[in-house]
Parts: sequence; structure tokens; C-alpha cells
Amino acid sequence: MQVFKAFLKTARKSMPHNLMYFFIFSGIALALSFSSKNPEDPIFQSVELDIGIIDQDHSTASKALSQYLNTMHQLSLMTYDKEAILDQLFFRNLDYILILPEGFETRLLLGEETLFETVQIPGVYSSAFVDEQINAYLNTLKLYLTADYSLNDAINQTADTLSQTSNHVRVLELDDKKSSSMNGIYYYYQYLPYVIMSIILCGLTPILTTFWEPNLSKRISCSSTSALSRNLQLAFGSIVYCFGIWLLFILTSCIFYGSELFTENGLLCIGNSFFLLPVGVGVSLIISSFAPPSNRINMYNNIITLGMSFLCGIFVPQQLLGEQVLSVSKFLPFYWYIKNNNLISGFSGETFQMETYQKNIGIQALFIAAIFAVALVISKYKSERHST
Amino acid sequence: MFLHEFVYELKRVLRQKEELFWVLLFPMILGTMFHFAFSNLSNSTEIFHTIPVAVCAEEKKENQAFFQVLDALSQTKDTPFLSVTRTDWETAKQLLKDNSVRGIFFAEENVTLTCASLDSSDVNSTLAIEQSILEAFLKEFLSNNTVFTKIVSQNPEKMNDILSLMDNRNIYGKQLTLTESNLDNVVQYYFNLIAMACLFTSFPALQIALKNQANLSALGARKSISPNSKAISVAAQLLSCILSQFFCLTVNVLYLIYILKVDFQTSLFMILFTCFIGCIMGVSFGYFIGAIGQLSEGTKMGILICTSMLCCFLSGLMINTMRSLVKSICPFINVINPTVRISDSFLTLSIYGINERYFQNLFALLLISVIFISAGCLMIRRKTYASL
Repeated sequence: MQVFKAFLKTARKSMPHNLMYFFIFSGIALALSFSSKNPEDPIFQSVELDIGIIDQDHSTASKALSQYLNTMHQLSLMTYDKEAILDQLFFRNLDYILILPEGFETRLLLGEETLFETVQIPGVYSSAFVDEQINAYLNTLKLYLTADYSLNDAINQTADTLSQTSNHVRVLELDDKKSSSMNGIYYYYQYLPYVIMSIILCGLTPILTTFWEPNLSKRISCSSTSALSRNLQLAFGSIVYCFGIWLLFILTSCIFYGSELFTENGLLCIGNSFFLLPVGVGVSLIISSFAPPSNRINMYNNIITLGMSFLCGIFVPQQLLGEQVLSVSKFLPFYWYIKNNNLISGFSGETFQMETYQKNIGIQALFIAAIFAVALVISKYKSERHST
Repeated sequence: MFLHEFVYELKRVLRQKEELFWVLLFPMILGTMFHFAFSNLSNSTEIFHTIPVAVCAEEKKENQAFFQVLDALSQTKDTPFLSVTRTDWETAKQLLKDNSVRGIFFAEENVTLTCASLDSSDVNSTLAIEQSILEAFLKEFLSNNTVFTKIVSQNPEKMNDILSLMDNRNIYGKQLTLTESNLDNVVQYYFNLIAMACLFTSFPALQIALKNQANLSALGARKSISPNSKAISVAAQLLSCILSQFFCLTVNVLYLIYILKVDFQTSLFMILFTCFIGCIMGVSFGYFIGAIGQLSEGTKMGILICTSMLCCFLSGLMINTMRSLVKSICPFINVINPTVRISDSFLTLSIYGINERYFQNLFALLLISVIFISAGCLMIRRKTYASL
């Protein structure tokens, strides 16, 4: 088992690098699992936005409007500063800026049409939403004012009327809606391909490359160890290495999510993730057969893992990717992995069906077979070229 | 002599494929990934689209007033507010389940809205905001009805005034246009990407410092015994490095603008000018790190990569809200972070045009460059080595 021992010794060298990846990923997974809360009772809750208010009127009406918005949104009082306003909107710290100019109340009482100014992100949902709410408030207020209510009475009646109309929204519980208590697990397994692939490519490829390095390869070839034994030992080393990495991540998810992982959905996630290993090993084999220098391995790793992660929906959910992107990503194994993860988690709104899950696993298996076939062809070509 | 050093540095940079990869290819690859991943993001999550709803009511029990309002809102030009499907309750429920409609209005004497339950992870999703808009719309309709009934019973002579006011669906706000920019914040990923490429120009500059120190490289030792002026030699190499890296950045910028069609909302000249200043900063940073002490090339490279990636992370390359978060916790970090300065220069150009803030950013970048180059020169100059 000399080759296997040499493999393990080389593997120890990449340990610090892999541990760094491991800790970063565990940190991200932890943060995501804490951010997903348990499901609450199904009551309707309106979206709360961040609104900046510039009140230049300081009148009863302007304060009443601010107070009304404050019951539904997070309000920040601001002064008029063009750069501050646009910066806050650009970085989405604020969704909407409402400017109540001097004379707002007077114009309201005079029945004028243009009462206030806004700065919005053009054409977005949040702007339409706040516009609708402000218009609803001012329409109601104006109706009371038209009916000769005093301003104070009209404000009080408007607040009462609008609060009374809040109970007309019902929430329909959809039968097969997934529980969000397991969101942490789903997020963990969504990011897993990126990290496992990175660790395998950065960890396993340099080890395999060492054995493919021309001089060392020749030295090993002339030893008493047969080529079959050498390859088997290398294969065994690769399996132990990758399985160890995978097990480490499964154990970590066990620690974070405990018994939830051993539910049907948790086990399906684990099963799906197992197919990442042969993909990683196959790609690693292909790269290592070219015996690239160590700094180039990092280059290939970045191209392959970042490329597949962006295209297949790891960093940006598949449902937000364009159709053209998805039609390309169907030719990559991570696409089918993420599709299965979405199926289990219900992120894409698709209903879980075991046949679809199995079909996606099958497609991943076909990709694995194809990757290994390519690796073998390259290896065969290289060895033939080497012997001539 | 100056020209000789200049040309040889240019040749060296062009032959170092790994260095070229990080400055020339990596930003292009990452930019392409951003393009695939984010091209559909604003459109699917932020931009307002007509909201599909279902309406149910038994025949002859329909709330005519509500149906009239729905008709009016679904027949507007450009982007109608609603798209209405009239159907029975069971079909409407199925449509809601399939997410084909965002809500069901049950429009008989009492009008109610039924929405699908949301997971805690969905509270700020597009679906949630669409549901909130429908709720705000219903609230406005119901409050109008309540006010009408109330006022007409108390003050019947005001009925006509109230009806005419209700018929005119007023928009009380005037949208201010403070910038020509569309405030699409996806473009900030590209700003940070170019800023990252500017920082990566430090990699070849590191080699200049290393190759000029006799105790760190064989080439440095050879150069140290030559009678050439070190100042002229280093100046020629730095200038050559800046120009070659600027060329790579130009290729990147052209790729982003003309191939990926990224809209920077400013002139190409200003983008390239900013890149040039960023390039000077990057090169000076690499030279400074290379000049520090007797650390090995690997360690110095590690420092460069870690510092660059940390600066990019804090500037929002990976998470777009990071810069605002840093600003709220420790604004000084943003003041000294060169990546923030570069990306803020692009942001300023795109939203405000050339203004004081833009020049402040350029001045800060040039100041950082002068400090780095001066410190680097001070550390390298007049070094003598013991005769062994």
C-alpha cells in the first residue's frame, strides 16, 4: 500500500486550505439556518418597507400622514440632500422617499391635485405599493373634508375607517406547502456543491497531479508495483479522501440541524448530495491528467466551480435565472442537483414526486459516466503518447 | 536604459499566463457569470408587472361597483395594474395554488381577498409585495364605500360631490427625477468587479519589487550588481506595468460594455480614466507589499490575495448590502478601502456625473498610491548586502 500511503501523506499538505473552506462554508450555513424562522400562524401580514420622509410642512396633515405610514412601514426622517437620497435608494436602504413640501396642508384643504413629491426607484413594486397606500389615505381624507368635516375630525375618521377595513384578507393554507422550519437544511445543501467541488478540485487534484508528474510517473512505472495495483491504490485513496470530505459535511449538518436531517426530506438531501462526489472526482481526474502547475489548478477550480454555481442556480435561485441560461445549464450536472434540492424544499413551487427525484438522480449518474469516460479517454491517450 | 527596462517588463508580464489570467480573464469570466445570473434579477424581483388576480361571485350577486373598478384598472394602457380572471371558487383556488394568480377577490356584497400563505422566507418576496398591493387596493375600495355610506346617511346633499371625487381616481404625488440613472443596483456588482480587477493589477507589481531585491530573487541579485540606476529601472518597470495592466482592464471594460451590454450610464472615456487611476493604485499596492521585509513570494502573494478579496467583500462584490453595513458600523473603513473608492467613483459617474465626490475619490486613490510607492521605495532603496 505504498502508493496509498504516499497519497495520504500528500493529502495532509492540502489540509489547512481545505479546513479554511470547511469553516467558511459552515459559517455561511449556520448564518442561513439562523435566519430562517419557524412557520408562524397563517395571518396576513403586509410587507414592511423602508420609507424616508422629508416633512417640510410640519403641519397637522403632514404629521398625520407620516403617522399613518409609520403604522405599516419603517420610517426615517430625512432632510433634503440629493446625494443622500439617491445613495439610499441605489443601495436599497430605503425603498421610497416621500417629500411633503411646505404648504402641503393648505393645498390639501384647497382641494388641489398635486400635494406631495416622491423620489422612487422607477417602475418597481415597492413604489407602486406605497403610492397606492398614500393615495388610499388621501382619498379617504379628502372625502371627509368634502363632507365638511374639520381637518382634525377628518384625520381621526380616516384613521378609524382605514383600520376597520383591515380584516378582509384571508390566508389560504395550501395543502402541500412545505414547512419552512427545514429551510436551513435546504440552504446548506444548496451551497454544498460549490464547496465540495472547490475542496475536491483544490485538494484532490494536486495530489493526483503529483502522481501524473512525468518524472515521478516514470519512476513509479519502473517499480515492482503493477500499474493495476497503483491505479487501484490511487482510486482507493481518492474514494477515501472524497468520502471523508462528504462525511464531514454530513456530520456538520447533523450537528446544526439534528433530528430534522433524519426526516424523509433530510435523507433525500443527503442522497442527492452523494452524487456530487463522483462529479468532483471525475473533473479532478480530467484536470490532473494534464499535470498542471499548482497555481493553475486554482485557476481551473475558480472557472469550473464559479461557472457551474452561477449557471446552475446555486448562488442565484434557478427560478430567477433567464430561460436561455437555464437551457445551457441543463448540460451541467449541478443543474440537476439543484433541481432535486428545489424539488425537496419546494423553493421552485414544484410538487415533490419521487419519480422526478429519481429521474434527476439518473441524469446526474449519466453525467458522471460521461465525465469518467472523458477522463479515461484522456488518460489512455496520454499513456499511449507517453509509451511511444 | 529606461526603454530597455520598459520593454522587458512588458514582455515579462505578457509571458506570465497566471498573472494575465487574474487581470485579463478572471474578471471577464466572473462578469459573464454575473451577466447570466443577474440579467433577469431586477426584472423578476423588482420591476412592476401586472398583477394577475381571480374574481369570484355568484351570478346576480356581483358587487357591480367593485367589478367596475376592476375593469378600469385592468384596461389601462402600458402596464395595467391588474389582470383579472373571472372564475368559480374551486378553479380560483387551483390557480392560486399554481401561483397563476396572486389573490382571489370574492366580490359579492362584502368583498374579501384570499391570498396564499407565505413561508417566513417569503416575507419580502415579490409575491408578498404583490399580495400587499392587492390588500392596499382593497382597503382603498372598502374605505371609500364606508365613507360614502357614512357621509350620505349624515349629509345627503353632499352625495354628488362625494361621487365625483370617487370617480376621479386622483394621483396626488409628483415623481421627482433627480437623476438620469435608472438606479438599478445590479450594476454595482460590475463596479466592484472592475474595482477588483484594479486591485489584481497588484500581482505583477509584486514581482517588480521581488525582482529588484537581491535577497528575494536571483534576478534581483543580478540586477543589484549592475551599474544601472535603480530609480530609473524601477520607474520604467512600474510605468510599463501600469500601462500593460491598463490595457488588460480596457479589454475587460470593453467586453463588459460591448459584449455583455452592461450599462454604466456614463461615458467610456470616464470609465477608462477611472480604471487608469485604479490601476495606478493597484500597481503601487503590489509594489508596496512586495517591498515589505523578507517574506517569501508565496506569503506576500497570500497577503495580496487576502487583502484584495477582503476589500472587495467589504465593498459589496459578494453581498450588495455590505458597503452600507460597513458604513453604518465603521464608516472609516469605507474611507480607506480602495475598492470602495473605485466603485464609488463609477457610482458617482453613473448617478451624479462628474462632481466633487468623484474628484475626492480620485484624490484619495492617488494619495494612497503615492503613500504605497513612497513607502515601497523607502524600503527598497540603498539596500546593501553583506559579502559572504
